[in-house]
Amino acid sequence: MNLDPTILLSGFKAGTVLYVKVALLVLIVLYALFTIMLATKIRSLDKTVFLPSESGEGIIKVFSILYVLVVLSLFIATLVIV
Amino acid sequence: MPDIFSENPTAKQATQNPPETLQQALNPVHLFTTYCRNPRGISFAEQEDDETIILFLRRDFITNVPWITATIALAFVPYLIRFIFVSTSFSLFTLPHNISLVLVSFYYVIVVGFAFANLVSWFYNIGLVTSKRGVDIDFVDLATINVATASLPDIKDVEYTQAGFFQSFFDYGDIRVRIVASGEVFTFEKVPRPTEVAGIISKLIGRQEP
Repeated sequence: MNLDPTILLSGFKAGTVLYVKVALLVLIVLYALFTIMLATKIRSLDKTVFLPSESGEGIIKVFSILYVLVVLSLFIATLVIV
Repeated sequence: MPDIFSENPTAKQATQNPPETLQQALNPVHLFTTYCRNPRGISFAEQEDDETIILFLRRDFITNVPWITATIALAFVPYLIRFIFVSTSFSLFTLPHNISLVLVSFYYVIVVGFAFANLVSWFYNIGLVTSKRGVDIDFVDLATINVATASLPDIKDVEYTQAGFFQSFFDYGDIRVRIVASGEVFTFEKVPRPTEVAGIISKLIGRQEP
């Protein structure tokens, strides 16, 4: 049986990279759920108290949506790049 | 025959259109407003037609300093780790460049999320004092929204606390409103100018008493 250490090491490295990738994807999915929950809460608070546009409520709403999109983009980027 | 019981049109018009002085006294609420008397353009669900908002309150802005400082510190952590590793020539493991890029990006997304969650928590922790009640909207741990109301006739007394150096120096504190029937305490936490707020609520309670 041929046991080449370089082949073994490269296999180990590839396995580690795969584990890191899966762990990253799981973490990003969990974080995406958290951001979606945050955006939903902001929407529901918007129905509880009505603040004028000058109060910056619009900025917060837009940012919450953008933030969800950024996290989802990061998930796709991890899936494609890594 | 004079019509005694007919509605007075001028009186009705006067109630529909508040006096000019009251309209001028309405103040705008901006992103960083923490205390506003007679706020303009704010309303809440279940607000009655003849109910006006007298006070708009948020936690004092100085209470945001801890999380702002933490965010700035967290933003420099990767640089610090890299500096330590480079200066000591220490390498625990070597990750491919693309994985490092995603890891660092994810880290910064979390840091921004931490700051944003804290900002939202501060922004939506609102206290309102209206001509009929006190309303406390709490955004607790990003999962729970707690809306507490106490009508003015039910309020027994008002007290405020300014504990410690910072609260006295920056003039903010807790307002506690005790409710008659239940004995529960309704709190506006860390709001600016607690003396004025307590005074306004006391005046409103006094007006409600027979």
